[in-house]
This record gives sequence, C-alpha cells and structure tokens, in this order.
Amino acid sequence: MEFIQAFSLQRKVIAALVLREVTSRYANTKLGFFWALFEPFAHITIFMAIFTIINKPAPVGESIGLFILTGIVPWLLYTNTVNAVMSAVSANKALLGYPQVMPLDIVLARVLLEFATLFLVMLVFLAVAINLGFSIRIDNFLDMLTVAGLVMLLAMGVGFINTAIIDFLPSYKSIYNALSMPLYFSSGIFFTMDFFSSDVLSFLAYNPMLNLIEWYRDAFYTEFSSQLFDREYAITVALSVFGIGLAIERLMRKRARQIGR
Amino acid sequence: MIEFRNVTKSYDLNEGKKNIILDNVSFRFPEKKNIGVLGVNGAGKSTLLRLIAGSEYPDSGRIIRKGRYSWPLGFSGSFHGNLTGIENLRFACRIYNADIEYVTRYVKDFSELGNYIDEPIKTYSSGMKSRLAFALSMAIDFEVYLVDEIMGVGDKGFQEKCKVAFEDKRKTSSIIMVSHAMGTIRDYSDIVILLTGEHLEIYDDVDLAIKDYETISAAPR
Repeated sequence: MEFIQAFSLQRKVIAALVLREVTSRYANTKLGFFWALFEPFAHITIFMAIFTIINKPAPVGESIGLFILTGIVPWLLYTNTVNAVMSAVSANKALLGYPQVMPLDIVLARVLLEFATLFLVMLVFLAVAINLGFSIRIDNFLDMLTVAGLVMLLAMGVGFINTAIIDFLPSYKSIYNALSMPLYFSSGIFFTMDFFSSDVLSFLAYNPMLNLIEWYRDAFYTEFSSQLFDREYAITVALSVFGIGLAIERLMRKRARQIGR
Repeated sequence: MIEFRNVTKSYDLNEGKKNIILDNVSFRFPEKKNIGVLGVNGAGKSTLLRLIAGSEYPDSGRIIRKGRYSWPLGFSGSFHGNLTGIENLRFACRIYNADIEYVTRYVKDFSELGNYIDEPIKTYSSGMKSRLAFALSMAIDFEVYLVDEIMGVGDKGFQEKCKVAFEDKRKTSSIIMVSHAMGTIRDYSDIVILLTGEHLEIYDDVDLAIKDYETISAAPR
C-alpha cells in the first residue's frame, strides 16, 4: 500500500515536472519547438550538400536526407539526453526544496520530454518525406523503440557519471565536450559500418553509439539489414553504464539536495 | 508523524572544522502538539526546521515523515526563478494535490501581487516572494505548519492579515515554531524542544524550558 502511494506520488511529481519543463521550453518561447526541428534540419541539410558536392549516393535507400535523419535522431536523443541530465539539477535546484521532489524525478521528467520531442520531430520529418513523394515503410518499429530506449539508458548513465565528475573536477566539462566531437564523427550518422575495412571497424565498433545507430537503421529500412553491429554488446554497455550512473547518482544524491550552496 | 532515526547533521567550516548541529539523534516528535523550538544562535533551529520540512537532508540517519508538512512559513527558496508566480503555484498544487483553481483565487486575493503574479519570480522583491509563499501555504492545507520567527512578512497591514489567516489555520493544524521571543513561544506552544548543540531535549513544561534556555543563553561562551 505504502509502495503504491509512493509510486502514485512520484508519478504526480514527474508529471508536474514535465509540465514545468514544457512551459518553460515550448510554451513561453516562440522558438521552442521550432528549434527542436531546426537542429536536425541543419545537420541534414549540411550533409545533403556534402553528399551532393562529392557526388555520392545515399549509403542506404534512395534519399540522403532520410539516411541522415535516421542517424541524427538517435544521435540527438543521445546528446540531448546527456545534456538534459547534466543540467537537470542545476536548472531546477530550487524545486528540490519540496520534500517530494527528488533529483532523479527531475532527470526522468527531462528524459521523457527529450524522448517525446524527438519522437515528434521524427514524425514531422517522416510526414514531410512522404509529402515529398518518398514511400516509407518502417521495417521494425519495436526494434526502433528498443534502440531509442537503449540510447536513453546509455545517455542517462553518461549524464550521471559526468555530473559526478564535474562536481569534483569542473574542467572535465570542456574535456567531455572535446570528446564528443570525434564521437559524433565515428557514430555512423553519415555512414554505415561497412564503410570501413575490418581492421578499422574492429576498433571503432567499441563505440556503442555506432552499433546503436546501425541497429536503428537496420530496424528502420526494409532494404537494409546489417550483420556488422553487435546487439549483445550494445545492450550490455547501455545497461552497465546506466547501472553505474544510477549507483553514482545515489551516492551523490545528498550532495545534490543541499540547497543554498 | 515525524521521526528522526540516528540523525546526524553538521556543516563544514573552514580548515576542516565542523559545526555539529545534531549528533546521532533519535527522536519522535509528539503528534498534534504545538511545539516551540528554543536554542541559542547557531544551535541549528532553522536547520532543524528545514530537516523537518524535508528541504534539507541529514548527513546520516533517516527522517521519516508522514502527513503534510509545510515549508517554513514565508520561505520562498523552493520557487523557480524562471517560472511565473502562477506557474510556481500550479507546480506546488500538483505535487501537493491541491485544487489549482481554488488556490489561484485565494493566492491572487491574499498576496496583493496584482499583475506581478504572471511575471517570473526572479523579478520579485524578497517581500513579494515571501507574500506569495505565505499565501500559498495558507491556501494549501497542511497538517503541520513550520514557522521560523513568526510573521515577518510584508508591511503592518499585511502582517495583521497573516496573523488572522494563521489563527484560523491553527484550529485545524498544529505548528512547529522557532522563535527568540519568549512571549511568542509561551503563547503558541504546548511543549518545547531545547537545542543544546548536538542533541535536543524535550520539555512538557514550557516555563521550565524557558528558564533552562535562559540559563544556557546567559552562560559565557
């Protein structure tokens, strides 16, 4: 009974937090959702231009735009979630003054909103693609959701770990930012895994995001099925990083709750 | 119901020193009693109140809280600066399960904030924040009200209004109050908790508690 009560209270808190995030991000600013659309749009346009200039066809499917879209959406889900987790508590510190509000609630609210936003973004872009005359048949929607879930778990874990490190070593923030650049270029946003020779790939395949984006495309495209990504590896890494992140969050929780300093 | 189990709370000072406020305290607060908290400056009265409110955590041990405890009256630290008064109010209503419409009407009327209620909290003066916080805590029904130095909110007219509203609340809710004014403690409390630094003592006899407190606070430090 007590558990159910606690659960329903926590649900209420998270719902209130989601509404709070929605109002400040989308309702109060005119740019809100437009920015959410513009970010992937910018990535897509730039890569479409590059592919056209070097005169390369899309690695999979008939549309370069669609190919980049299926890479950039999971990637943005990853980076936006990491950033949302890292800034969650500092952006909402005051609200922790309410005893019902736990740091983890704030994080969950933001992650849920991040997922909902990108889900909508994906829908909008697919609707545009259909309007432009592309026929879109999703191969395995459930697998796409699974990948999205794993990406979010991985990102939350990384976010928690980063938050803890930054607390002790503030300069780590710029180190992390510097590290995400090569990660962006090696995660398969604009290529598939068979782009590389097996020596290079055996090294790059340690990047869980490369595996997850390949898996995402494998699930999205009917005409694309990859043998190169490792499901077990992606799941293991995502779950372990998430587990480590949660453990660290638990250790750091009291520190995060101390208000006024 | 609120219970402290092996609660330790301290603040880090410079040079690795610690100011210990509670040292391994286990304590069950009597229910449905108005409790006055006494202690010399720095003994941790306000900290104790924030621990009870749940806005601060102990270093170790557990605090078990059942029922609805207010934030310290007039305390506006839980408001989010980027949200408007109304948005903060709605947030509080949602997590305390209060009727948004009723609370909005009550707070608009009580707080005298006018159009400022739709402005972000960061544009408020500290007095405006306190007025909002006070009005909100009157609009949401709490079982126990926490009071840190009574009614320091607003000008004289507003203070009178607060007093009336608060008297009305006292019929149905109990209070836990910190004050330096012995008269206020005598008026409001049934029992007294005396913070001696590191632990707390409970007195059923308010006058005896005040006598002991005066002995402690008069002692050279």
